[in-house]
Amino acid sequence: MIALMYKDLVALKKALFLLVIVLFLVGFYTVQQGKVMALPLMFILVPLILIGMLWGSDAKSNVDQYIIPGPNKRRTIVLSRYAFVWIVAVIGAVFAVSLKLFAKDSALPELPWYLIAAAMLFLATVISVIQLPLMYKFGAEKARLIFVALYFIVFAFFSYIGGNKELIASIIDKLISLDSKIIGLAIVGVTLLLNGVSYILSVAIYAKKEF
Amino acid sequence: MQNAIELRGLKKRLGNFVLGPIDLTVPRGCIVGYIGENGAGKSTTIKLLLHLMFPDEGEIRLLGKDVQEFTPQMKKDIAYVFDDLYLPEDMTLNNVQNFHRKLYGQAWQDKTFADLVARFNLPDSKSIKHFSRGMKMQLGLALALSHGARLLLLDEATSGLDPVIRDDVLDILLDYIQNENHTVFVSSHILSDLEKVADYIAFIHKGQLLFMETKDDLMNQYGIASLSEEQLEELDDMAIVGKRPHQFGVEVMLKRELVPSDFELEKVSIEDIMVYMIKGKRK
Repeated sequence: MIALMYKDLVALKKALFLLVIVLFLVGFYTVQQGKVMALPLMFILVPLILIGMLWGSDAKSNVDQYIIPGPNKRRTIVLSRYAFVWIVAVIGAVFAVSLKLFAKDSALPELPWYLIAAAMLFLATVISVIQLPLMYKFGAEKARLIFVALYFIVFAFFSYIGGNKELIASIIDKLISLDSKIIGLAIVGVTLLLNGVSYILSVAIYAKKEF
Repeated sequence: MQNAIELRGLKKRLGNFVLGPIDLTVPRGCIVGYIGENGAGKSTTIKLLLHLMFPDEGEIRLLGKDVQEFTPQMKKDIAYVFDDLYLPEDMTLNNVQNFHRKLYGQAWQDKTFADLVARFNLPDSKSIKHFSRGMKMQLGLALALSHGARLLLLDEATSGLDPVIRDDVLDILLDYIQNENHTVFVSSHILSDLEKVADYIAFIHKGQLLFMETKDDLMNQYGIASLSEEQLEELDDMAIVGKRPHQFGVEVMLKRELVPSDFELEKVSIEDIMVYMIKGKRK
């Protein structure tokens, strides 16, 4: 898997360099504006950008046809893709917790560190792990179209429940009354479940794919 | 002795096209030329061998083992070169080498790779998007031969290359086959190349394997004669493999054993055999 990740890093070295510069610029801007809490949120977008770039690079070079007959299992090839998402999510969580512990920014939400870490892991992976099986099944282009449709469904869902303010208020009340450690564990649990199901689905789809 | 490739009742449907059922045995220590028209099923066969496609029916064994049971370690024994180098274009030769070093671990042979790169005079700092088609193919071959594989599969790898590079490639294949445990299975349109190096020729037409025979037997079995229509009518129909009408009569490819021994026949090339057989089938 290290070889596959090395190949991906080399293939994207220029794009990654640009991405790092953009991240630094955005970071500098958020610090200057006194909105440090926005900084970790960038890690929600980074996995999505990375996956998009990797998919584009792989499709252009038709690299699956080269690596599948090589000394790799198909599931390892899929794992190498997820590994990027997970590495970025962990960096994002560590970064967010570090900010919370050391930045002493009043703009940061008053949340315990484990809740911030759990939320970052969830937010940084959730979109990618929904997108990845779709990309394996339908290819990048069709998957993006399906994803746009999903955005509309989610938007319609929130528009619908947004009208019912009493229901939302009662849910928030219940959540606030819960122990924050339980909430943190629940978020980690949901994150692990989503990632696990997504990975199993992607492996199953990729195992049957012909090139 | 284990065979390098064994196909038993191999069948694959792709829309209207059906490959097989194919039964084919490739012994170790030889070069097999896999020939046929465009769309005959050559690339599909190689993709099935490499597990890039899955058969609908039948069994594929490489080096004595079912391909479905291949572990990553077993896959190191198989090398392959396609008609293009399917690696990210931003990689340099050094990047490609590092990638393969990590991929093949202890099986990777730095010295073999360095020797081949020097022999092909490939630049190490240019990204491969700046490589010519010939250079990409040479790099593909250098990579394939640098991890101690015992079976080398080439799918139209030499098509579109100039004769000098092709000749170099043929020399390397002949070097490779000096080890009796090494086997080469090569699909190609350039039949003159196969004529130089192949021990066996396997001919596939519309998904069906018509024959696999030693090159020498094959070339001894057939002959070409230029005949008048009257002479042609006197011949046994079974003797005629294919014919090509011309201004003064007809040129025919005949089975030597079915024509009188005093009949004068010219030597055939593999290209003649392929062309006449396909035209004979179209009749």
